[in-house]
This record gives sequence, C-alpha cells and structure tokens, in this order.
Amino acid sequence: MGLVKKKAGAAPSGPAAPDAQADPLADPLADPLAALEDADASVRRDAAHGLGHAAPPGAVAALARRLEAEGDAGVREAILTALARIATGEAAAALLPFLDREDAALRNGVLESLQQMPAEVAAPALLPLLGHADPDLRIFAVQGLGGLAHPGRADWLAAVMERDADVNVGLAAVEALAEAGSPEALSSLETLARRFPDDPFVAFAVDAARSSFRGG
Amino acid sequence: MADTEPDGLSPEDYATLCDFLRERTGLSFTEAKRYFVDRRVAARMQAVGATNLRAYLNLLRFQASGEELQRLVNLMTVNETYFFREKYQFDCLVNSVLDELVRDRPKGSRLRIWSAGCATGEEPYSIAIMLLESWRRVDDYEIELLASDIDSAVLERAREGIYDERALQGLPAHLRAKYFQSLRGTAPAGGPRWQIIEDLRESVDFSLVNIADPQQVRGFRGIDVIFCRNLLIYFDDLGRREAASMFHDALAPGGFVCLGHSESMSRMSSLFVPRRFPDAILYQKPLNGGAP
Repeated sequence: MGLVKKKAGAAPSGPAAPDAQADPLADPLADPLAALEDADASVRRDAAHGLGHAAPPGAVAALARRLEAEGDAGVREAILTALARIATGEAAAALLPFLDREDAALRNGVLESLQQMPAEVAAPALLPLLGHADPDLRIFAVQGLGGLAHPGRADWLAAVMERDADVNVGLAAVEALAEAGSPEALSSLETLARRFPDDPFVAFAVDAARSSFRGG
Repeated sequence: MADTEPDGLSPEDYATLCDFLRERTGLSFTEAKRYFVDRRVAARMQAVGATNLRAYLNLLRFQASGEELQRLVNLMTVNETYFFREKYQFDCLVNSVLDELVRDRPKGSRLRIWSAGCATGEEPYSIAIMLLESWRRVDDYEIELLASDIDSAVLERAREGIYDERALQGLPAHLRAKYFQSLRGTAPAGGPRWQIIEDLRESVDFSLVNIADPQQVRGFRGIDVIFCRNLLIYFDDLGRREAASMFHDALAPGGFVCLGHSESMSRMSSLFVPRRFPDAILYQKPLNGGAP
C-alpha cells in the first residue's frame, strides 16, 4: 500500500471528459430547470450553478422555489450564489422572503448574496425593508445596505440612526458605519446618543464608533 | 470597440475581456492588473494576427479546439512556487489531519488528496514526500494523489518533474538525495537541474481542470483533503463562493480544505467549520455532510 501508482503508460485520468457521443437526453443537466428537482443533490447543485451563468426565463422563480424546499446545504449555497450571479431586481426580490426565516445560516447566506449583487440592484430591494414593522427585518436591511458600495449608503444609515424607534436597529447602523469608518456620520451618531440617553450600550457603541472615525 | 489599441486596451475593451475571462475561467482581473493583462493580450493578438480585440475575442469564443483560450490562460496565471512552501500545512496533514481521517477506517482503505491549482507540481510532490517521510501509517492505506491545474503548459512540466535550484531551496539535502536525481545540462535560469524520481512521478495523477467548470470537477468525488493554496486569490467574491461550494461537493463528509496563509474560508462560504490544529487552521466539511 502507500502511494497509489498510475498504471504505466496510462493517460492522465482526472475527471472524465464529457462524452460527445453520449445521448444528450441522458444528461440531466440538458434541462437545468428540471434538474433542479433531481433526486441527486450533485445534479441539483450543478443545475443551480448552470442557471446562475445562463438563466432562461423562469430560472429565478424555479431557484426560489427550490430554495424553499432544499435540505442540502451545498445545493442551498449553489442556489444562493446563482441568484447573486443573476443579479436582477427579480433575483434580489426573490431572496427577500428568506430574511425572516428562523434558520440563521440561510438568512446570512441571503444577506451575503444581496451584498454580492451590484449595489444598484440590491439597494432598491433592501431600502423598503427599512420601513418594515419587524425590527429584525430592519436590522437585516441595515446590515445588507451597510455592506454595499453605494454613494447613498452613509445617508441611509444616518437616517436610521436619527429616526428608527428601535435602539437595536440604530446600533446595527452604528456597527455598519463603524466598519467602514464614515466620519460624515458623526452628527448622526451624536443624535442617536441623545435619543437613547439612558442606554449604556448606546453610549459605549457611539463612543467606540466616534473613536474609530477619528482614528483614535 | 476600438479598431486599434496602440497603448493597450480601451477601458471598455478591458472590461469586456475581463468579463469574458471571468465567465469562462473564473479568473478575475481588476484595474490594478491592467498592465499585466494588456501586455499578455497584446502579445497573443500579435501572435495570431488579430488587429483588434473584437477579432481576438471571436477567436477565443468560437475556436473549436479552444487552443487560443488555453494559450492565453497559460500566460495569465502565475506559477511561482517551490518545494515545502508553507510547510506547516504539510506538517498539519501528517501530524494531525490524516490520523483523524483514518480513525474509524480499516487498514487498506483509500485516502484521496487533491492538489487543486498544482502549477508545476511542487505542491503534490511535496505532499508525497511528506507522506512517505513523516506519516507513520502511510503503508496502512492506499493513498491517491490527484493534482490539477487550468494551465496545460505547467502540467506538462509537472509531469516531467524537472526543477532548478530555486524550487528545491527549502528541501533538506537528504530528501534531495533520496527523491531527486541530478540531470545533465543547466536550467534555463542557470545552475543545475534535478528530476523527481520516477517512483514519485508515477504517484501523482495530473489532469487539466478548470475549477470554475462543474463539468470538469465532476470526476473529483470522495476527496479527503483538498489543497487549494493561493489559487482563489485570482477569483472574485462570487467565483470564490462558487469554488468553495464545488469543494464542499467534492469532499467526503469530514474532509478538509487547506487554503493559503492569507486566505480565509469564512470570507468565502459558511459551508465549512474552521478547525484549529497545532500546526495550522484548516476548514472541514461537517461530518453530517451539511452546513455547520
């Protein structure tokens, strides 16, 4: 035993090349939309990957439907990546309903996909969530917007700090701004501190952000 | 699209070319790589007689053999490496990871290790040497060493296994004497040449694989350890996420990914669990096969 030897004179093996003579009907990926429902998780994963690179009509809806039912983590990740690569308003909108799921891994994956879309696609989908009644969804919106490279980003987060009634949503905005160090948000930080004067964590977070903006 | 590009590609042409390369190969070039890309594309356009980028892109897209795309890819990838590079990760393999992987496996079962982005072969041959020299249970198992790269030219060199002094600089003298033979003549950069012994060359199965293409990766299944060091730095965020997903699919439950020292799986994908061993941090596919 030990290291396995290649057979003498054998051609390099590696993965099998696609067989040109093979029956195309035998290839489950010939119809990627149908392949999304295949019993084999590898086929579903490859179908999702393919749809991300060449999305026929109906692809976004099919991916979202599959995501709803999918139990395999690898396939789920492939679907989330495919929707990020399709990166249309429809794809961004298809991701939003998954933000209020109990499954934290799914929520994080959805947020990551939105952040990997061009900012001009993801922002219009996320901005309306800042007005949602559920503060958790507003926090996810803040986190999503905070990760976008968009000229409106600092203003959106500043508005959250100045107006959102929930202290945790305001703190999420502080965190998002602190990561990028946005000195123009200093006055909004001060406003947040004034709005929640009795919350020691707000004082701490605002102080920390203030120091980071000033390079302190 | 401009008809001529006397001073390199126009911004639009550069973007078009980069989009094409990203789509077909997963390789991602930012504006910072402009000079690097311009020079190589200009050289290839001149070599094939393409007078503008449109003509060259048409050749890349529609040439049935794919030969020109392969030539360009070969020029675009950097293959700077040497034996025992970042050796602490190989130490981790033989001191911790393999023992954990075989804990519940009977003697004689198979272990599969894949060096993805193996360039001229220093990495898979280093793994082979480490296994033979430092893993006491090496003879108890059948160990399959797979190695792949997107660059056909470097794979040819990997199969030949001929190296100069620079590639061997990190190798102790007794290992050089044991696993290499001196060749006549001098290396292109001067100095002596050494060839990996045939026994080791026969122990690594090299293949041409674009890891951004699921069809090409489909043959890699049930892998126990993937070394993919300093390859994903050429990919954009989405490309890295897709590659991580591909590795997840290729690995057996409980298998490991080893990345370069500056790379972190947690910035690419949430499918893996970071595992801190005494020698290094690796990323593990959960034993239940799913996400953490």
